[in-house]
Amino acid sequence: MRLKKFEHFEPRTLSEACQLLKEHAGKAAVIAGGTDLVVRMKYGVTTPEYLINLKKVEGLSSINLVGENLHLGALATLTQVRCSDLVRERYPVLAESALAVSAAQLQNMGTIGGNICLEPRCWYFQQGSSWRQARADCFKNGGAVCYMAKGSTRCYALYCGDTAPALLALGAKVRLVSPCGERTVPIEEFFVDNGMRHTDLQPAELLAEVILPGPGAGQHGTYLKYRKRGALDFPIVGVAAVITKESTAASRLRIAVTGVGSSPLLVVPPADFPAGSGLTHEMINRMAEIARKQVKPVSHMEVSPSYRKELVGVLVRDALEKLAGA
Amino acid sequence: MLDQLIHLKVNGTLHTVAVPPHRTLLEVLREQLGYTGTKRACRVGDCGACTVIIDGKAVLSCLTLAVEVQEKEILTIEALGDGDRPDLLQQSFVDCGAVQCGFCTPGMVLSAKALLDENPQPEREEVRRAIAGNLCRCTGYAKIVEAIEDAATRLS
Amino acid sequence: MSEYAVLGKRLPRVDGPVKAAGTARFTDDLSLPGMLHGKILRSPHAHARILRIDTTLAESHPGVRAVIVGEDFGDYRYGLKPDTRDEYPLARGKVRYLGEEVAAVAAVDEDTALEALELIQVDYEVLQAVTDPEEALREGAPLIHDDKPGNISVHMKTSFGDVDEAFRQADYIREDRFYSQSVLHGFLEPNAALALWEAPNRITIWASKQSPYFLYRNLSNCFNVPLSNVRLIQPYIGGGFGGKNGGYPVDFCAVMLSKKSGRPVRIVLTMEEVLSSHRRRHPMIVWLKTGVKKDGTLLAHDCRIIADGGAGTGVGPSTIANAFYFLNLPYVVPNVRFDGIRAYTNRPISVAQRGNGIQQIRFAADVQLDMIAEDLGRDPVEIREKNGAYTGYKTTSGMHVKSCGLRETITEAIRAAEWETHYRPWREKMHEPLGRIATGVGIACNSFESGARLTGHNCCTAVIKVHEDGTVSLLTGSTDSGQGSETVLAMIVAEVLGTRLEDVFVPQTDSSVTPVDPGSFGSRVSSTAGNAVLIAAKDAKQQLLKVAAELLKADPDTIEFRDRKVFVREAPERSLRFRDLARQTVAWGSGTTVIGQGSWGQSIPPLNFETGEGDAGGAYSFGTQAAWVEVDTRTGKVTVPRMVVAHDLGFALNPLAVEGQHEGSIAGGVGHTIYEHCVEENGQNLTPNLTAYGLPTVYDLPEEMVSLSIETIDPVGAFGAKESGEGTQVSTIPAIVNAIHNAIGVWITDLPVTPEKVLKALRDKKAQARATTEGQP
Ligand SMILES: Cc1cc2nc3c(=O)[nH]c(=O)nc-3n(C[C@H](O)[C@H](O)[C@H](O)COP(=O)(O)OP(=O)(O)OC[C@H]3O[C@@H](n4cnc5c(N)ncnc54)[C@H](O)[C@@H]3O)c2cc1C
Ligand code: FES
Ligand code: FES
Repeated sequence: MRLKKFEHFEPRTLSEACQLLKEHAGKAAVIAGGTDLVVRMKYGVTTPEYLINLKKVEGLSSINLVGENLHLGALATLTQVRCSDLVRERYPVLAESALAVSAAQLQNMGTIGGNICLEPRCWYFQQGSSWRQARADCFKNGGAVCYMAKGSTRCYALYCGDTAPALLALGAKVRLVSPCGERTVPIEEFFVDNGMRHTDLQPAELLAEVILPGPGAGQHGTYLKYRKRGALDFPIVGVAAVITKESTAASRLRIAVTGVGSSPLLVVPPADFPAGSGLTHEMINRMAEIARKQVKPVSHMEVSPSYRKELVGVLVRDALEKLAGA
Repeated sequence: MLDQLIHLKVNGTLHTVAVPPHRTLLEVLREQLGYTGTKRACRVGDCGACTVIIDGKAVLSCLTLAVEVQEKEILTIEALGDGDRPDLLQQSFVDCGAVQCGFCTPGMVLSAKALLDENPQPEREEVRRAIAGNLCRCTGYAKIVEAIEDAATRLS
Repeated sequence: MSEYAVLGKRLPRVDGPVKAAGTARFTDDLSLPGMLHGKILRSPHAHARILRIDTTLAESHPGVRAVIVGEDFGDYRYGLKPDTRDEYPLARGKVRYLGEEVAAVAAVDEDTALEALELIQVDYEVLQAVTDPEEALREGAPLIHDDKPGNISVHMKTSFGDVDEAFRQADYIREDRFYSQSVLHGFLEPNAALALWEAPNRITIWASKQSPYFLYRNLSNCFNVPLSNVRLIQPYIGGGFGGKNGGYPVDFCAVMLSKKSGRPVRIVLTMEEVLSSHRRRHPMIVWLKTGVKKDGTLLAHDCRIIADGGAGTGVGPSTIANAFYFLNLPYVVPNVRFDGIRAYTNRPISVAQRGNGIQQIRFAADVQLDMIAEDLGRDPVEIREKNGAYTGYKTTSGMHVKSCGLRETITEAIRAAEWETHYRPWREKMHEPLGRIATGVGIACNSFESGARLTGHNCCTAVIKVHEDGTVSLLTGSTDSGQGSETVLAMIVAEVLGTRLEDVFVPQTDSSVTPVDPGSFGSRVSSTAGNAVLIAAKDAKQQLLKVAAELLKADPDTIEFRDRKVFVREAPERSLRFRDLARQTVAWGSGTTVIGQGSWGQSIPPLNFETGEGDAGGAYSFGTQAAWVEVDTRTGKVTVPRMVVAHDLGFALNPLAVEGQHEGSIAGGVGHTIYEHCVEENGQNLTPNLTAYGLPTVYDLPEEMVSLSIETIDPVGAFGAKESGEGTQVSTIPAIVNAIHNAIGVWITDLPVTPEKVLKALRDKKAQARATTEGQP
C-alpha cells in the first residue's frame, strides 16, 4: 500500500495543465482531491509516471454566479459545495448529494470535478497487486475478461459517484478545456456507458467547471442514496429527482440514477408522460416502474441485479413522493 | 523523481524535509518527523485512523501527498495536550470511557476537534456525522459521541 | 458495594491519557537504529504444490538484506496441542490457502522490500482446492494435510443423559439448520512485530499480542533458544478480539529475518493482508434438534455441527468444545448429544474470536427457542424464565453453576426495554398489514465461561513491588488489548493497599520480567489474574502490616489501609501515611524490599476436549439482551436503534469499563448479524478492505445502548467478578434475529441478515400465504 514513483507537476493554469497532459500523453494522470486516484495508485491499478496536480491552478475552486447560472470550479471540494449558500439555496439537491459522499474527511478532500470523473468501480479491479495475481487480469487491468459479467466482451465496472445524478437532474453542463480550445457540453453527453472509459474526455482534456442553469422560481429536487452502511459507502443505488416549473401550466421532471451501470443514467420519461404541474400517485408509480425497467444492472457486491432494480423503483417512488409533498 | 526539499508546518513548527513526491503525508509524519500519534491502519481511506487537520479541516493523511501541503497549517494529535496535561477534549474522551484500545482515538479526537472548532455546540447528528469516517471496533461509538458532547458542554 | 474505596467506581482507564494524546506506542510506532523493513510474499493459489522458489534476483536487489523461505525454519510446526501442530511459519512444500505466507524479505525500506517481493519466482503446481467444509468432508475430496485423513481437523462426539428416550418423551420436537458466516476480528491495528536477534541466541521481540506467552514458547522452540533468552515485550495493542493470541508467520519471519540480516526487522501487515489472509471466526453450520414438553420445558438437544476450520487447526479444539459446552447453558437441558466436526478447507485459518464457538451455537439455540415458543403459543420471556439455569445447578455434562443471576437479568432487561409496552407476539400482529417500517423486539440469553482450566500451565501470577515513596508497580503477564484489564487489576492493588489508582503503575508485559501467564482469552483476566493480584497485594500488605503494627503499636488485625493512610480502625487518629510506612518498612531492621507475590488458577479439572465432561471455566456469567429493530419492508434493510444488556458479571469491578465491554460486544454482534461478511470466490476474499467488508460505522450501531450489571458475587472470581467481555456478544445475534421475526414474521437462519435475504424471506412468506389461502376451499 505504498505509492510507486512518479514525477509531480503543479501547474498554475489550466492550459499549462493541459499542455503537460499532452506532453506526457498516456503516462500522466490528473490529481484533484486524490481520494479516488491515490487509492487506485496504492493498489497499483493506475500507475502514472507523471502526476499533474490541479490544486495550484488559480481560481479552479471558486463558486460564482454568472447571470442566472452558477459556475462551480472543478476543484471546489464537496464540503465547499455543500456549504455554499448559493448551492444550498438554489440547488439543495446538489448539497444533499455532496453530503451523501463517504464521510467528512473525504468531503473535505474530494472535489466536485473528481467526483464527476470518479473511476467506475468493481471488486475485481480495485484490489492490491498480490490479490490480483490470483486471477487473470480483467479488462480494466489490461486483460480480457469481466468478472462481474463473465463471458461479456466489455467491462461492466460500476459508476458510483453521488453528485452526478444530481447534476444530471439539474440539467448541468460541463466546460472542458484542452490544448485545442474548449467546449461546453450537457453533462449527459459527457458520460459514456463504458467501464473502461466512462467520460468523453479527450486526450489532454480537462474538466474546468460545472455550470448549473438558474433554478427559476419553482424548482424542487432531492437526492436519495441507498448504501450498506450509514456512511463511507458508495451508493448501491442513488436517485436524484428534480422538478422544474417551466410555466404556470407545465413542469419538467428529471430523474437520474447512479450505481446501476458504468455511467449515471438519466431516466427517460415516455413521450406521453404528462409533464403536468402536480405529481399524482399514478404518475409516481408509473415513473418508478419506468425507471426500474430502464436500468440494466449486473450482479455486483452482495447485490443481485433484480434487487438493484427493485431499489431503483423504491428510491424513485420515495423521491417523487417527497417532491409531491414539498 | 528526486527528493524535493519541502517545508511542512506541523503543529506550528516548520520542518524542512527531503521527500520524493510519492510519499504520503502519513508516511512523512510518522517516518521522517516522528509524529507517530497519527495512526497507520488501512492506508486507503477506509478507516480515519490517520486523520489530521489541515487548515481547519479534518483530512486523511494516508491519501494526501506530502508535497502538496506545504504552506498549510497541519495539526496532528500531538498539537493537543500530552499524557500529563490532556486538553479538554482528550480529557472528555478519557473520562467518558471513549478510549479502549486507543488505536482509533487520535483520529477520532481530531475529527471531533475539527467539528468543535467550527461548531462549538453541535447537534447529536452533527457529532455523528463528524466521526462517521472514523471506524472504531472497540467502543460501539456511543461513548465517543458522549465524550464529544461532554467536551462541547465543558467548552461552553 | 460501598465497603470498597476503589473497586466498583467508574474510574477512567489508566492508559486513557496517553492513548488520547497519541503518545501510547504501538508496535508500528517503534523503531530501532539500523532497522530493516520486512514484507511477506503470499500464495496466489488456494491449494498448490510449491515446485521451486528462486530468490536469487531478490537477494541481489540493492537494499535487500535477507530473504527467507520455508526451509529456513526446518521442520518446525506449531499448534495448540502436540497432535494439532499443522501451521508453518512459511509454507513447506505446499500452500493450503490463498494468501498463505511463502517467503519474506527484509530491506532498507518498505519500497525496496516490496520491489524485492516481485523478484521472487515461485513455480506452483496448482491442485484442486476445496473451500466448502461439507465438500471437504466428502469422500474423495482433495486432501489438505496428508496426515489428516478425511480433512478432519477436530472431531468431538459426546452424549450425556438419554437423548433418544428424551425425544420419545417430548411433546414437541423441532429441527433446524443454522449458518453463521465468516467474520473477521476487525481490529484497527494490523498485526505487527519488531524483532531483534542477537547472536548467539537471544531474541527480543515487540509484537502486538493479547497472549504473548504463546509466542514466547513458540519462538523458543522454533529457534531452539532457551526461554530465558526470549524477551517478548508487549507494546500497546490496537485491539485483539482473539486475532492476536498466538504466534503467526509475521512474528516468526521478523525474527528469522533479523537472525539472517543481523539487524532489527519490523514487519507491519497491511489491512489488506490482515483481512484477506489472517485469522477469522469459524464459519459454522449447526443442525439442532430440540425436544420440549408442551409447557416449553427443554428436554433434549441433539446437535451436529460442521465448522470450517480453514487450512490449520489453531485453537480449533477449544472452539468445538465451547460449542458443546454452551449447548448446556444458560438453560437447563437434561439430555444433550453433540457431534462436532471441524473440517480443514483451503481457506485462511479459523481461530477464536470474541465468544469463540459460542456465538454460533447460541445463535442457533436461542433463535430456535423462540421458534419453539411460537409453535407452542408460549411467551418468549416465560419460556426463558422456565428453563433458565440457577445457582447450584450442575449440567448433565458436569458444569457447576456456582452463581447465577439469569432470572434477574431477564427481569431487568425486559424492564429496561419496556418489553410489556413494546412486545406483542407475532401471532397477534400477523393479521395487520406491514407498514413501510416494521418494528419488533426480541430477547435472548447467554452464558459464558470465565477462565478455562488449561492443561499445562494454567495459573496467573502477579508480583507487586511497593516503592519507598508509596507508589506501587504491578507486574503481570496478563495483557490489556483494549479491554481495560490493566486498570481493573491496578484498582485491585489500590483497594487492598489503600492507595489511589494513580499510585499503581502497570508496566507492559515483558517475558523476561513479568510472570508467565496464559493470556487474554476465554474471559480470564479479571477473574483469574484478578485473584492472583489480590493474593499478591495481600502478601505485600502483610509485609507492610508487620511494620505498621510496630509503628502504631497496635495489633495487625486492627489496622486498616485506605486512601493513602494506614490507621487503627477503632482509633483513626493513630495513623501514618502509606508512603511513610513504605519508607519505614524498607529501612526496617537491616532493610527489606516489599515484594508481594500471588498465583491463582482454577481448581477444576482441565478442559476435556474428548468428551466435554466437566467444567468449561471456573465460573459462568449469565445475561439477557433485548433488541429493538426496524425493518424497511420495501428494501429489507434492518437497523437496530436500541439494545439493552443485563449481565450477571458477578461483580462490576469498574462499571465504566463494564459498559465499554458491553457496548463493544454489541458492536461486534451487530456487525456479525447484519453487516460483516467475507464474500469469497474459490477461496479468495473479495472483500479485503474495511469498506467492502463493511465494518460498522457510527450510523450502523444502536444509538442507545443500555447496560445493566447484575451482581451475584461469585464465590470463585476475584471479589466475586466473573466476566463481561464476551458473553454479551453471544446473545446479540439471537436477540436481533428474534426481534426481526417479531417485526415481520420471518426467521432468518442464515447469517448475515442481508437486506436481500430479508426481502426474499418476506416474499416467500407472502407467496406461501397466498398458496395456502388459494388451496383452501
Ligand atoms: C472510503 C471511501 C469512500 C468513498 N465514498 C464515496 C461515496 O460514497 N460517493 C462518492 O461519490 N465517492 C466516494 N468516494 C470517492 C471519492 O472520495 C469521491 O468521489 C471524490 O469526490 C473524488 O474526488 P477527488 O477530487 O478526490 O478525485 P481524484 O482522486 O483527484 O480524481 C478522481 C478521478 O478524476 C480525475 N479528475 C479529477 N479532476 C479532474 C478534472 N478536473 N478533469 C479531468 N479529470 C479529473 C482524476 O484523474 C481521477 O481519475 C469514496 C472514497 C473513499 C476512499
Ligand atoms: S489509514 Fe488513512 S483512512 Fe485508514
Ligand atoms: S478504541 Fe479500539 S478501535 Fe476504537
